[in-house]
Amino acid sequence: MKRRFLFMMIAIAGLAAFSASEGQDPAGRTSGLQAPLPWEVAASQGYRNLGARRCASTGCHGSVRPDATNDDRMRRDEYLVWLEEDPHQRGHAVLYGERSLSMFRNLGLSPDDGQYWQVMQKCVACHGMPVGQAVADADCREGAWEGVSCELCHGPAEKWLTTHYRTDFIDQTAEEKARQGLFNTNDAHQRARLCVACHVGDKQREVNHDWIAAGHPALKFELTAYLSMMPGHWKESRDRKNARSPEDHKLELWLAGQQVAADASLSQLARRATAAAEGHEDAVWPEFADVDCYSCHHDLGSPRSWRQVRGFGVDPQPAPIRQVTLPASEWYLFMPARLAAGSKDAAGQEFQEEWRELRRAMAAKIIPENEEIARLARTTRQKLDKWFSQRPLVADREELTAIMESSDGKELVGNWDRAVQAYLALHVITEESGTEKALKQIRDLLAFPVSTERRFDSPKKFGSVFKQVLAEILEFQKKLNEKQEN
Amino acid sequence: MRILVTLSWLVLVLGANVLRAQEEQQVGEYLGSSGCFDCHEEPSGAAKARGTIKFIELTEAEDWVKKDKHARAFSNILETKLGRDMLDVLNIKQDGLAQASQCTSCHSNPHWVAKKGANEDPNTKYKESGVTCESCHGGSSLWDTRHRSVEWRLRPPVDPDGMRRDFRHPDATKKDFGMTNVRDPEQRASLCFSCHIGDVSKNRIVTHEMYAAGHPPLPSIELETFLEKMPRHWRTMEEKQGTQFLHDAAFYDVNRVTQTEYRRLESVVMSAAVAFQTSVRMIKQQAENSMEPGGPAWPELALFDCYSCHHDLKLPSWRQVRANEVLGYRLRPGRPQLLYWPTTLLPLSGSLDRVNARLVNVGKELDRRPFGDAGQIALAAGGVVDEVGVLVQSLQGVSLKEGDVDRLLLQLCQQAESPTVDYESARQIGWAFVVVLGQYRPAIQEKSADLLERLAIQLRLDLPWGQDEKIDEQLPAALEAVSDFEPEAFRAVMSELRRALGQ
Repeated sequence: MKRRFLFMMIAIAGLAAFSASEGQDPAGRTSGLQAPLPWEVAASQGYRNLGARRCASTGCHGSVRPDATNDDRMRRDEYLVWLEEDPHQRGHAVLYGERSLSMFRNLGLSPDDGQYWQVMQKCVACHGMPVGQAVADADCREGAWEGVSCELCHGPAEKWLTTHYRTDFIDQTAEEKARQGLFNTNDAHQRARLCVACHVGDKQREVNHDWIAAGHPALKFELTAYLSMMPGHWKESRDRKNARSPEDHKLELWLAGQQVAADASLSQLARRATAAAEGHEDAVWPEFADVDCYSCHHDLGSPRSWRQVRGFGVDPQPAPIRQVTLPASEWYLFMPARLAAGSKDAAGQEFQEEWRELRRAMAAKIIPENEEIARLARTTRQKLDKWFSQRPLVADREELTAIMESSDGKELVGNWDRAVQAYLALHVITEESGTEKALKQIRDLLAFPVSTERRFDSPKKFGSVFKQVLAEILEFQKKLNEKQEN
Repeated sequence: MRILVTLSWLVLVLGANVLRAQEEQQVGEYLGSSGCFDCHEEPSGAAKARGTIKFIELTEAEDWVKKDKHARAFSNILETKLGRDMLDVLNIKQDGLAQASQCTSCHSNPHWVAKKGANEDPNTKYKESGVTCESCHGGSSLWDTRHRSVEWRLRPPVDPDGMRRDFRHPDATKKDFGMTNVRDPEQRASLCFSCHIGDVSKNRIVTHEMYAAGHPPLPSIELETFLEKMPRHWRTMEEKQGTQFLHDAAFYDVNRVTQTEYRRLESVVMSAAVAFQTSVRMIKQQAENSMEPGGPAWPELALFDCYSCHHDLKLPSWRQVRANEVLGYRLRPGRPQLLYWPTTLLPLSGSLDRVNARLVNVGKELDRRPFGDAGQIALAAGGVVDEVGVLVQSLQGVSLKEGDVDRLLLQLCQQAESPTVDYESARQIGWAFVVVLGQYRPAIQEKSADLLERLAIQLRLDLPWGQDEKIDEQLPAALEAVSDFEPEAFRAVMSELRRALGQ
């Protein structure tokens, strides 16, 4: 018994050391953007997923309480945090819940119908992990399925389950571990790619407007906000240690999230536009999921609404209205473009100019030219990646504060997506600076209405508060600057 | 001489055929409304003495200019903040409004437009600038003097076979002189709906850009309800029938008026069919225009259901729960759809199998890709226009009977159960129900006063009328009502009303 305990302690300490060593050994600037994702490893190497219960021993990751004795060690209650609190755990179960049933009904699908199972396959690409096999069943009806469980993020455990706590494993490099199937979630870019694959979409995964209309929540991902909501089953202290710049690890995560999500959303737009241009049978064009949700989904306002005052189109267009089209969603590109506009870097300027061109092309017609959009989405993505490959991997506070100040205030809150991205960035800049109360004021203004009867997913009456939001943001920045000067 | 007469007849007959081919050609010019006031402002002593006022009140012009919003259709654009803001956003100069055909096609008349709106006299301005007498009754240059004679009553409004003649022909009808037969339910509905729904061929379309600039959303329209609130400035046939006037029997004869009591019922049914016809024709016209070189871009968003996009995203949401069906075809969620409300009262017309069979093609094309392809939509909508044309024709001259009252009331209650009911279509049902119940089942109306009041509040059924009601003030509450609409609350009232009918 004593020997077992000792062995376990060594294993835990070793795991902590291995995680820390990975952070200190960043494997090049771009490796995180290219490493295969866990399910790609499972598919290409044939490594099996073993299931979450294999991680759940009380001596390993299934402790009933977190280990608070040492900041450098892992928590040991990861399994229970996931099982009891993490929405990912219910990832597969929700497919059989009332909301999903209603979605299927709205899509005209029932389990007696073959098409239902085809759609289900698309669902489980994000909503489940097949256990005991490398890939999903052809029709999803056989086999065991878990929610989004340990191995979907950490990699198929077949080859490392029994070795990952041993020092000879811990001493290996991240690449060596990855070859055995253990995914490096400590790397900000890799972690971002992992989340973005489902929360934004990739070649095998997408949430389109038909699904959203049927009842699927719209995807609006921002890495730091989502990580803070999970809840985390890791220690913040270890996250800091693994970061390139420990005191700014949130800024590093934020920037990686912005880059990877912007990249993924441009790829998705390019894929959709290309499919339409090539005349694929199931291509949908225009795909409204690429459009700013609230440019259409808003109440029709009183005379002279804020939208009419603001004007329509990509460039500030006070009057006259020439054409009202469907503007591209700015959720993923607004902050990277503001950062680029604020930089003196030529690559940054090129990227943000290209993004503006893409927005112009999207807004040129209600049904934009798919070939042109495909081309511009690809070139914008290339320019985004080029700029990010040259700029520092951590955003610094002053840089972010400066771009907000230099932005035309109205532009900062030109739509709900922009205002919320600005708010989330402020949140990251000001972490633990005693400004929570001021931030909460902005948050309350931007929050969707709360009602006991229903949940709103749209910023009802945003127009009446947007001036206030702007004032609050600017006031907030002023205080922040004063604080920094003092 | 004989040859000359023969020749002149030949010319007239040939001319008639030509005219038939160009049925919608404008006959007669606009003279302006000021002249109408000579007789239609206040009945003269002689008119009272002769009993003419039993036939016609002779206060029409006065009612129109003082109460009817149509008289202010043009001036209100310039005299309201909403109108001025719109012009500003659309970059239309205030002194150039009379030349802005996208506005004047509905908000003014050719007489005012020809004068380029140049009239400084404020009294005449209100009489001449808006939707005036001739906008509905037809340009009066050929009939202004003639229609003053009592014999004009004996002239048929139109040729029963649709024949058009030169106005000099002895058998020329009122239509041949340019007078519109506003007593005919189909023509009247077509006339009103050409603005209240639209007519692309006459440039009567509120585009999405105009809406985005601030034009109030065009509401759904149940004609009998709207006519009462103009307010009505004419005696109905029922009111005329209760009196005796000169040539009354001959008047009923040439106007093919039978002693039917169910004229309003027939009008509800006919105008519902014409509303659908008008709305689907617009789609066809716009899609066809979009295919022309230099034509407007497709889609024109204004032809789609405003609230299928402009709604809050909320859960639970009745939009999501309802089966997204139009007349039996299940539509894909997430695709903008055409207006639902014009189809709501269509089942009152009878069997819709043939219309539905065509309408499904429009739905399928909208499913195939968002907004569909203009060519395919034009084709599919064209098929519907043809079928609904047959339907409208089949309703011509149909006399409804006592038993039809209960049938229609029950059908309206059944329509309320339809999964596609939205605010606009609920209003159609509500308005039609109130008209029919009030006219033909007053006892039940009285008994159900509380329920009808609830319905009226839910759906804002009481139309703002009179010139003091300003759209600027009405609009916020009107838009709020759309946003707050809950079909279940509406269905609950309709279900209680159904019980009150004894059904």
